[in-house]
Amino acid sequence: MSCFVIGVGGTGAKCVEALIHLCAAGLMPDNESLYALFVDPDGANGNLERARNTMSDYAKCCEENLGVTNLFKTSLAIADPDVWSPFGDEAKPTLGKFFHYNTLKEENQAAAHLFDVLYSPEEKETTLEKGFRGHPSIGAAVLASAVDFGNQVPWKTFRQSVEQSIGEGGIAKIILIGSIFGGTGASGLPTIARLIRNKLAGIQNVRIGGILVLPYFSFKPVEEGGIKAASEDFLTNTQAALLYYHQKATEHSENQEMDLRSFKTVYSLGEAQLSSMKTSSLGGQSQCNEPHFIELYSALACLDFFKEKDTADGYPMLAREQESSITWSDLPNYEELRLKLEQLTRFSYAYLTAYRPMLKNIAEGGSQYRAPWYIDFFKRAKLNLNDTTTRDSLKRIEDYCTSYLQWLANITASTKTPTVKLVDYNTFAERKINNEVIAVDLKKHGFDLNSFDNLLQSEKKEPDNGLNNLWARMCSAKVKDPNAVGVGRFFRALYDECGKK
Amino acid sequence: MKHVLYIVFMILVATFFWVLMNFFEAYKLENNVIPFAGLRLSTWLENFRSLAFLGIVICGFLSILWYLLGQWAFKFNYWNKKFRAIWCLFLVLTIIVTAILCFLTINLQEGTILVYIFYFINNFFTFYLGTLLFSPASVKYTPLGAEYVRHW
Amino acid sequence: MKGFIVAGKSSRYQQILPLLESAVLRGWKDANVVFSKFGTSITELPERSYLKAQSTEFYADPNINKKTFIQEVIKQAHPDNLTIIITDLFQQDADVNQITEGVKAKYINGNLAVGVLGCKSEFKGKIFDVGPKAYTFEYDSYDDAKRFRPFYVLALGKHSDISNYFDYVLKDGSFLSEPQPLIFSRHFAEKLVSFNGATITEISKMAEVENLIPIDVKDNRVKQFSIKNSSDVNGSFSIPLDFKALPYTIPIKPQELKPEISVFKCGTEQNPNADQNNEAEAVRGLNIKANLNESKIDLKADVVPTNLPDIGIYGFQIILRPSNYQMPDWVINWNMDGGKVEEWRTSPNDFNGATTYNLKPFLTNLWENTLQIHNPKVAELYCYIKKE
Repeated sequence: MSCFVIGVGGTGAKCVEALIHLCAAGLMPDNESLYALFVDPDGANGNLERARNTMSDYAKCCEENLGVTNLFKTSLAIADPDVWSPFGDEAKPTLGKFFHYNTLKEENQAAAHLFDVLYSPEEKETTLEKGFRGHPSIGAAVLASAVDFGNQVPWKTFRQSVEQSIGEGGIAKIILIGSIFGGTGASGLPTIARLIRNKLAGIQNVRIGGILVLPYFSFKPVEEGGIKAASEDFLTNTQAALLYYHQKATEHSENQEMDLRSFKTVYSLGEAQLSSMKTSSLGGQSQCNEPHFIELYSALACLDFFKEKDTADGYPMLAREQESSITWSDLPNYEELRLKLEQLTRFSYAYLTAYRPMLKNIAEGGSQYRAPWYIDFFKRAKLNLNDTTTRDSLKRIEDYCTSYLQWLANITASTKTPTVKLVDYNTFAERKINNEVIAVDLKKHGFDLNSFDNLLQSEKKEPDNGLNNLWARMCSAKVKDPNAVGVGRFFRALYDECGKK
Repeated sequence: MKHVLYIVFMILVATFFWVLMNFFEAYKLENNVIPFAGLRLSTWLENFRSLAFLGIVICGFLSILWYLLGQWAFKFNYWNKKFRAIWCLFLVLTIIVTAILCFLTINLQEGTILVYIFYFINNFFTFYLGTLLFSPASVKYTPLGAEYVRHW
Repeated sequence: MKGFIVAGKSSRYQQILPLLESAVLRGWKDANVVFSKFGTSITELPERSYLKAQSTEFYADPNINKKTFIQEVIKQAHPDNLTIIITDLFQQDADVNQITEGVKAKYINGNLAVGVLGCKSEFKGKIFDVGPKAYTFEYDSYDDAKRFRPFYVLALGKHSDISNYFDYVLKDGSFLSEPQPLIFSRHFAEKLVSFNGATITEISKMAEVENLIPIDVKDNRVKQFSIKNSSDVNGSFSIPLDFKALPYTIPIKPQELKPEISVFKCGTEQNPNADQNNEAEAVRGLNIKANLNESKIDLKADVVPTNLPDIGIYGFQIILRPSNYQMPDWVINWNMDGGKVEEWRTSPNDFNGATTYNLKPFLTNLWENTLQIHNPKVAELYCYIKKE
């Protein structure tokens, strides 16, 4: 275990989601495993929920015996619990309760008065179960007090994993992702990074990186009263945060606890044109924003961080060629990226449109001879489609492929400007109706079957015979890898054949 | 390359039945059929050879046509189409061809049943074995019984 | 023969005399005709002096009119020539055997033929040498064709020459009363009957093949068959064969032909000298029935595979010969009833001059000699039958 990712807040969760998809495509470095952990007081956050589901699907898919392949290559260890909240099981936490303000008033009036100076009564009394409401000052104080690497799970396990990784002779690469314009991310990123650095001070083989996500979306004001995040404050907050980071990074202080030079590498990502999110919410399940291409960039930043053996101090830079559009060449390491994402996309597309439906049909009594690959990989291997193990394997791959294609379609449709020209998502997804914002969902009534070879083209091409050719190749496919076993042989064969054109 | 090879194999199957017809069946018929008056046995055998050859060619062509359709015409995007029905139709065509050959064959006093049997064997199995063993991958188990025989 | 010259009439005998020469001259280019008269001796007649035979003086020559020895003529005749004898067949000593012996020795034995053209003519005069006691009778045929007296044109030589000669005589001899040509020889048809042009009309349990003998052997006397080795099923086939009878030959009666079958087992390349031991049994493997119907011989063959001892190819030679013959009716009708000669002696007016003494025995003798020596055949066929 040598790669660690901590997603802080909702944005952090979405970026981790993107990273998981890149892991599924086999883009992580070889022989690396990934440890994932979410930090969010709002455990019911919709974004977080989706990311957790994706991670869970991925982890289950890793159990398929696919042999030595890029698909689900990287083993994933999920923290237990996977989401850490500083408030624990507290249903309606407040800042006042957290710091025992009432007790403080009685026992230490000076501290209480300082508390009053720093925080307004509203800040002290607003419930924080949906996050820090766009107030990093609240979050920083809470997080700094709550993290305990000694006895508290999952931090204890996290620390042990890092120590084990170092003990095996490797380098522990820890990256934290979060927005710096919100509440949880803005407060959590520097705080947790500092705490980690302090805990592991003196240990050489630790690299800590940070992905600071700048504003990239906006939302309509929330109707509810009380303190809340407002998208019009994002830029202001961002400016203040960046200034803060710069000051702390450059000032020299002998007080290590205050030294914020925690990150060896910092990635700052943002987009000048903010995308409108479909829902405005304080938090909770309703805070479920569609994936955005910035999150893809964040995930790519993670990969970049994980790949570098000796990360130089500094700020890696990236830009796109055209202001109005994003193409594959605007992504880092795009040749490998495109190749592997294309293979995963073709795999998901083919599985959902042709192979999974055929398997369902056969399980319901349909003729088997129509699918020679079924006879080769299932019948002759004595795999019963109605057997629980087989059924579960097929289902989890289906779930993962669905979430992947949905994520990919939304990434591509995330903005009108710039236009994202990565995938022709119209072949398998469609815009939701009656929504002002762009959001896509997988087609309910079959994908476009004549565009298989052109899935990753942005311009429309002539109808192709790719799916048909894939079928023919699958009907004679052989898997020689002895590590590919059971249903895994079928998935492996399909994945390998999707890599050919 | 594989397609050429498989089609060549189908032609070899047809060739095998042509050889069988020419050297075994003709020999058997020579000793077992009796033409009507006025017709020499050699003349009748010539008639049989010509018709049997035609039948083998037609059924060999049907098997190659099946290959071409299975490889380049059928679309497996729409996997719910019943391609087996098309294969069965071709199989029925071989029987129709056999019936036509039986009709065209010069009548015999004796041995007619054997002639019909040989026509059937030649035509039916030229198509059946050719498709059973060498159908293109997408329809390799469509011929009846193929999934128990074919392992390549 | 003097009586055939009837005063005041031009008898048929007289009319045929010039025809005898003209038939030769028309039938053969560059033919050389020599006429002779004979009786006791034979005298050559120079140039056209033979025409004097149309007058009675011709017959007054004492060198010829005392005795008639036809056998002398035959002795002197050359077998390479076509010899024509005009005679009433009333021979000295009435011994036709002498004639027959002569004809047999020189002609029949030499594969040559004897032709008899019976004619009738007016007659008035004496008929000598009637019966063994050589009676003489006066006879007048008047103008009654039924009473016309027969005379004969005997032709000795090649069958084709005799047939050709008769053709011309008959063609120009429309005046002749009831001409009756007849040729005795070993030939019944232009060629021996074969399978040429014949098609099998029925076949059962056997098949006609063509690969038993070398393929370059083209012989239309040969047919080839194959039959299965089955214990209870016989094969058969029927085939009509073309038969073109030569004219003037003796009728074949009854029409059933007599088959003579011989068999040999064909050897293989490995064993060219096949086992001959079972041929006696094998010959019963083929039964033939053949009937002559005008211009066709209806041949029916039955093959009995159980009588063919072994598997292999059997070659059958089939010779068809007439089983019997029937003298034409005119021979019987023109034959004098020898038993009545003594009776006529007492009643000369009852003498039947329209008949010839010993005609039937003479002709029968001739034919039987021909049969005995030549045993004529009508067809010679070969069937190769492969028993499988």
